[in-house]
Parts: sequence; C-alpha cells; structure tokens
Amino acid sequence: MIVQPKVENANGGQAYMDDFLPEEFVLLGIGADPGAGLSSEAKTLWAELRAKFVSIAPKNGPSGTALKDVTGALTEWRRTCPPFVRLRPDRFTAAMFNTEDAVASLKNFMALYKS
Amino acid sequence: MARQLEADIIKGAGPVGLSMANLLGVYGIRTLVLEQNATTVEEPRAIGLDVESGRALQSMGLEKITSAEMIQGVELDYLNAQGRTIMDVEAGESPYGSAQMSSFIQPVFEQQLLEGTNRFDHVTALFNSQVEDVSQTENHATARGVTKDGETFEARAQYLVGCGDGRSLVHRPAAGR
Repeated sequence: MIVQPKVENANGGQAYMDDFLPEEFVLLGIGADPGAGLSSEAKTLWAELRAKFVSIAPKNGPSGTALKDVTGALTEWRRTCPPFVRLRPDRFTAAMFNTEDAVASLKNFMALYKS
Repeated sequence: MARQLEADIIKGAGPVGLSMANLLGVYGIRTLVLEQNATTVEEPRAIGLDVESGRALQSMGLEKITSAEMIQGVELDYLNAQGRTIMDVEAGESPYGSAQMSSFIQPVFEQQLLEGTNRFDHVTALFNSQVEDVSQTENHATARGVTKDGETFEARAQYLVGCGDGRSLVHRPAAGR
C-alpha cells in the first residue's frame, strides 16, 4: 500500500492524498509527469485501462502545479523505487516502472489483469 | 409470480457486504443487497479495524462519520493459547493517512455503513430477504428466495457475491457443493 501523506493542491488546500485521486486506477508520477515520457503505444495501453494520470510535485517544485508533496513523505518513499507507480483503486501498488520500462511493464500488467 | 429484481451485483448486508455496497455506490454500479436478517447486527462482535480498512472507508467517503464513533490509534496485543504475545500492533498514527488500528462498535458501524448506501439511488438494501437458491448461466447469476412475509423473489445480476462467513449459499456452487 502506498503511503498517504497530506498533499496540497494549486489553491493551497491540503488534504490526504486519496481525496485528490480519482477513485480508479491511477498512474502516479512522483516528481515526474506520467504522460511526458511515455510512448504512444504505452499511452494507448493506459487508455485501454481507463487509467487517470496524476503528477505530484516535490515540496519545492514550481508553483501552480496541480498537487504538491508538502510533507516530503512521497518524495522520501519514492527514493527507493522508480518514479511511476500504477495504483489500484484500493491504493495498493500494482506496478512500478521507469519511462523506458513502461511498455513492457504495461503489457505484463495487462496480461495479468485480463486473465 | 416471483417479484423480479435486477442489478449488476448482489450480496449480503454484513460489514463486508455493506462496505462493498458503498464502494460500488461510489463507482456507480447497480447493487442489490439481500439480507436474511431483519436489521444490521444489534450485538457487538468484531472490535478491531486496521489501517487498510480505515483507508477503504475514506474511499467510501464515510471516514469522518465512522471515525467519530471509533477509538483511533489503539494498541493491540495478539496472544496465543499460552498467553504469549505473538503480534503487537503499535498505537498511534500510521504513514497511510488512517490510524494503524482502531476499535469500533459493530452495531453502530454497520448502521453507519447502511446509512451510507442511502446516498446512492443505484444501491438498494432489502432486509428480511432469505436467499434459498443460487444458480448461474454464462451470462448471469440468479438468486431466488422468499421474504419474511412469504413473497418470493428472483434477482438476476452479472455477479453474486458471498460476503459472509462460510455459510453464504453463494459459496456452495463455488465449493462444488
């Protein structure tokens, strides 16, 4: 299960992270934009799973970003793992990967998901 | 003729069934809860709710209501038959946004979960409804039964879920009985 610190939205409102996440599969980028580095093949695979993309910026990241890791807990958590996390609706991690592993990781995951 | 009911998913009204009904409510899935008892439980049973369950209540949008009636951050010692501690769950906060362990009163908790389902028009809970037979085809599952007033019903859905202890009829075909 992924940690759940308080995060801050662009309006300065703070709440526990899940309150800002869609109640579905989420592709979370911690200090990374989950859409940016993905190939079009990877994006098509994600779309098939109706995954929502969410990026959480570090505490000292640029202002005006959608969500910020104000406590630093997510940034700390992510030091030990790749930047992209596929979260299940119950907030357990389904997969973790780097940009270059995205397609392979997704294909593996889809095979499991569909079986 | 039996009363005809339809849903995507059908199940019972214990703490797990009602939790699932609330989650399905959030996801917009038509859900029918068929419960043989007249009400949710009236006597205390389970007492401990862990951090994963606490987080699930957050997903249901019920954590503020339910945590108001819980003691959050309790310490639990699990003992074996010789009285030796085999697991110790520490008190206090967790990194997961919800207390590591909370103590709850099951009758209050189940009532809160039931009231939570009222937020959704597509979730219906029917008490005094005893399922007597379950069957399935390739396309759907059917639960047939009778209410306390003697009215028969036939409920069809894509899924039938047994959420109870092993006594649920739904478990029997799955176990080959």
